Amino acid sequence: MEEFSAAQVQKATLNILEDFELEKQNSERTQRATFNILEDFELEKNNVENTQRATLNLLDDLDEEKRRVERAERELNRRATELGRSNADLERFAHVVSHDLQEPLRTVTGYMQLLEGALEESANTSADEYLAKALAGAVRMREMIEDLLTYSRAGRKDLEMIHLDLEETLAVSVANMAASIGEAAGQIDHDPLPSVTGDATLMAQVFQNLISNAIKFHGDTPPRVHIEALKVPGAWQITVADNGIGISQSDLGRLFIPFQRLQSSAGRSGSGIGLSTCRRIVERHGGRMWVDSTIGSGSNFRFTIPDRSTP
Amino acid sequence: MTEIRPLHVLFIDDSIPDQEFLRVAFTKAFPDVLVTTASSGDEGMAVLRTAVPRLPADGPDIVLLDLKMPGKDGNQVLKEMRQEDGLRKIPVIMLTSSRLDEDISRAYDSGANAYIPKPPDALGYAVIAQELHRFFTETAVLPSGKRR
Repeated sequence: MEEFSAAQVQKATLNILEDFELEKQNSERTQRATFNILEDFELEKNNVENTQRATLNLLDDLDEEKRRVERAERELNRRATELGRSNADLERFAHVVSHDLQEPLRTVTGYMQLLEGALEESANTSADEYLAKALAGAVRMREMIEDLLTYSRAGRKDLEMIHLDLEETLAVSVANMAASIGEAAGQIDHDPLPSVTGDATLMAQVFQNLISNAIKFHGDTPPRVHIEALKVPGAWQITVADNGIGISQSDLGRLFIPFQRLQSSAGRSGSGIGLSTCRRIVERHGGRMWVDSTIGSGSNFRFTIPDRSTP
Repeated sequence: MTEIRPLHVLFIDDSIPDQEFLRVAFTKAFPDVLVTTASSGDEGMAVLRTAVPRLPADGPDIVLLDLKMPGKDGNQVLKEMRQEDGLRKIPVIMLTSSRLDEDISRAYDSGANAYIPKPPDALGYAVIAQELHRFFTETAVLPSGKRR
């Protein structure tokens, strides 16, 4: 049997230890390399996450941009519609001014001419009478012009949209008309009315006009006016109901046209522009106005106001 | 022998001042002329139908007709007149403030004999009265015979 010397064993052991050391170093290198790969991987992962977040932000910005464009489009459409309506109003206004004012102007001019003639000869009609009729014509013209201005302002005044308690608005209108309501022994009552978004001055004008008509066009019995509200999809529908003389079929079609005097308006004051002003105000608020009426059975004037409280 | 009767004009218009201007315009220049008025389409038709038995000798020789009146308007009066035997041949002259082509066209379509836009003042009515009087008493012949 071979015997190994101590020196041989020592050398072999040293070799093994060297190999082990080498192996250990290899292992450590591999470990470091692995750590490096893991670090790189971690960096790459962060990059991807950053990119992902950046992409999501971009998508959010795009969404926001898209919404902004849609809002701008809606605003553009709204303004185009408003411009169209404004132009139509202007045309109608110009027509009314040039056409309907001719009548009272003819009255004034004509009676002044008769007056001139009457002064030259002894006529049956006194100069005073011609003067009075000429003056009446001038007064009528002034009323028409005032009402035209109200109508025009209702279309041009910037809407100051605030939170309106319609019961308060109604109270203001009724207070403004206390004298004429009292004279006619009229009674105004109402159901609970909602709060809406609207222009306080203009909405008060609407109530005032409708109530004024109800008081004016009453029959034999003292005028009674009842105001109520009905919730409809997206809006409130307000009804001003009266027990007056009602509106004939043939007059219904001309009710909202400026200065169209109706069969029933003979002997009653007013130029006949109130209702077209009311409708204009309501339409500017985004609502509509109409009437249900039968001759002899009173009238129900209805209008809608958008309910902006619900999203 | 029948004497020549004065012209009888019926003016249907809801405007009282215009009625007065027309009446003064005729009677100042032609004191014999009879001017009657009605203030609505319904009133005008009532007056005309009542006059039928006395036509053509008595009753209105010509009708001056406003267009825009509350209730029955001028066009309806015109159409009704043209549909009724007694009233069909009475000359009807529209006298109205509208100068719209469609109103003019529709009036002639419904049988108006002429369309006169309302004058701006009483002097204008005097001119119209002069022209109408001369035309219907001297130039043209009425179905109701000679008038003055």
